[in-house]
Amino acid sequence: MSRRVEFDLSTEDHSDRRRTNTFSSDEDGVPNEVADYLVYFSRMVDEQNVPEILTLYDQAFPDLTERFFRDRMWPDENVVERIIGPGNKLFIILYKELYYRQLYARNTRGPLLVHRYESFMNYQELFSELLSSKDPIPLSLPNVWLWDIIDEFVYQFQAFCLYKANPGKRNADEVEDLINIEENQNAWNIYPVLNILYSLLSKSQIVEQLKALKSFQEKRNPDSVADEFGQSDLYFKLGYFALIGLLRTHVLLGDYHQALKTVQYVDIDPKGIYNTVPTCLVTLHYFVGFSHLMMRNYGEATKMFVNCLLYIQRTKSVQNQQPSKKNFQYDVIGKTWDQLFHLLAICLAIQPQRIDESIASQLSERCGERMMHMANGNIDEFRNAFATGCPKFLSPTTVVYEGVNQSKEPLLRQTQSFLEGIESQMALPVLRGYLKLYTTLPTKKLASFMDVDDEHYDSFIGKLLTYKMIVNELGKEAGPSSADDDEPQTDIDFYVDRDMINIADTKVARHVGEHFIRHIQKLQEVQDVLKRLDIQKP
Amino acid sequence: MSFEKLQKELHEAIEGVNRYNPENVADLAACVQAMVNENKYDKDIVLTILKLYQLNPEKYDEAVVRQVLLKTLMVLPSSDFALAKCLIDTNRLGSQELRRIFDLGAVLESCNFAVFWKLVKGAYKPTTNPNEPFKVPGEVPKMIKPMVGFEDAVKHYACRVISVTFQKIEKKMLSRLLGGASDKEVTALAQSFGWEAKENGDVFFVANHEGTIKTRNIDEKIQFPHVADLLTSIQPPLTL
Repeated sequence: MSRRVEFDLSTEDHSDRRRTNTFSSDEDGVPNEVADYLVYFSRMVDEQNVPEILTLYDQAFPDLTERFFRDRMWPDENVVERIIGPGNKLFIILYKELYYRQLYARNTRGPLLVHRYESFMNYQELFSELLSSKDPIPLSLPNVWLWDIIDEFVYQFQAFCLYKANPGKRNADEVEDLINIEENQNAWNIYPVLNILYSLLSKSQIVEQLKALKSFQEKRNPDSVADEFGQSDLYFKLGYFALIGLLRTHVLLGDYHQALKTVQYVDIDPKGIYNTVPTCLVTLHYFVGFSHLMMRNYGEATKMFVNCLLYIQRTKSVQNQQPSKKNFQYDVIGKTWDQLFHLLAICLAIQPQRIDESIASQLSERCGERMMHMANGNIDEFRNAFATGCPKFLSPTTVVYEGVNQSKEPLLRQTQSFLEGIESQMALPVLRGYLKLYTTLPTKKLASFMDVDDEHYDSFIGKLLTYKMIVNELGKEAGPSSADDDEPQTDIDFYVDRDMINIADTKVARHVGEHFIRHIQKLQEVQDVLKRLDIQKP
Repeated sequence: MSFEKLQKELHEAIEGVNRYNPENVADLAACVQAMVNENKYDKDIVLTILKLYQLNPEKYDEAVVRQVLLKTLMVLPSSDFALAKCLIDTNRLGSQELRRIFDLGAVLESCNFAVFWKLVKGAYKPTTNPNEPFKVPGEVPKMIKPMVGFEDAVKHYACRVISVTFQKIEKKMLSRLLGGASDKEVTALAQSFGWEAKENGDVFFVANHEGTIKTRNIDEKIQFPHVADLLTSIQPPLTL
């Protein structure tokens, strides 16, 4: 059920173009209602009326797309300019951004090269307007739009790199244009993209401001470190979202350390700005968790993934109630939901931890069997889980004019790197299986279980050492550990006393009491309902 | 120029977006060489140069990449080696030398010190297995020789892992894990890690893990407030 938005045009004078019949086509094939919408929209942007803009962006736009523009595109920019009148340069740029987003979403094979190029030019215009003006631009947009701009920017860059590496995605005459673009390096090249993102960061001085906010001991006011640009809401938010956009870019290029460094000052707490936009929160958690996974910080990664899954679960019911708004946008949250489970399975297979009950039960439903295989040392299962869970890596420099599709190369590289690391850690699940059965065990006996002969005994000791190394998270730049002293990180731990392994098992008793209490309460609720029912005695 | 000076200059040069300035490649490579010679390390510089090679393929220099990878191995158990591997594109991996370094890395990451020392001392006998990674074991010590302090770094790494794993370790085993180190060397390392010699120096007492690692039973704790509501609102069962 979609909501019709009422447009208040009573004060503006465009009456010479208004007709009473709203469904008859106007000039240039633009329905009247759409024309009214565009005029109203541009006025709201001018007046910086953020709540109205949010409604227009979030609901009216998809609504109109659904009704009028199912099979054809929104009107061209020149048409729009004629409708809303001259002098609205910024609005035109913003409109074009939405226009190109539509293009990308509609074409399953991806848009034509010329559109990609034009879209990039539009972004350059938008960002140069924002970054090169002497004073902060008087523009206020809702958070979700700002985030979408940055997110789409990174996404289109990703799409372009994949496009470059895949000759199958283009037709013959585009090849020459592509050669041209590559030679001049003027569209979707990694350097301008990085430049724009970093410029947003430095213009808004977001890093300094976040650092100031974090150092609560000194209670430094972020305004003291930021100039007028930094203090402007628009730039602050753009800078903030640009941080997360950069995080994503770094992960796509395989630079996990830099990715984490970029967002080190972004506090993961419910008051952060990222909470206002669901896709932003999901993106942040996913990429941070993934970076930790690649850096072997399984504990941190698990925490991130579980948080994200809980959030999606909580908001899923809310989202289902609202009408499906973004019919043209990629279902980010749905896809990430699936990916998170696979990555979580990998983390828990190597380093089991206690996690929230509801997530744990869903995880065992989806990936239970896979986790069992992984625990038995089946490398292929790791490969499959990783391939499903990882993002679409890209290589910014690969250009293939003809021949084989090379867009999957970076993905293969990261998978290979990951699996090579897993092989070294393969001992863990296998060892765990044996250690669970004993409280003390001589090393020689364990060695014989694992078919290790005397010659390789020392290598076998290496396996024990690896286990402890990973479990104790040696060498990790550990953050402040939670004060959960009675809940150890792993379920099985051990130490070696000369040649005897002493094993410590952590058993968690079943929470029988909690179970009973919950059901007693449920029963009482049911009894209440029954009492209120009218039961006719026979 | 000395490592210190290079490091300071470079840290300024790679601030923010300038990190990706391809002009820095030459200085970064010089710094890596200084790291090799002076047994120093800087994670940022090392990862930056790999990144620049990734974005500017025409500047790629495999010798520097090899040095970088070997330096990351020296800081195990940090995951720098894994990070470095992720930054090298697939089309670079054909070279045998790089392959060899990766295989050596795999050995060290799985704490397989026995194999490592055999390789370094030249006592390694390659199997006839077609997947045998070290067909020409002599190449490994040659590769490691220019890296100052490589063997010491590995010994240090081994000791760290031993500290968390063992409560008591026999001197013979310890010496084997440290590559047949002499008594004097073993004692010196043990002292620097705070291990005590017991039983006439045959056994080293590493750390008291008994206190921290023991079986726990996490029992359920039901607190009174949870059941308080329940107790006050108990109703008689429904009768129809």
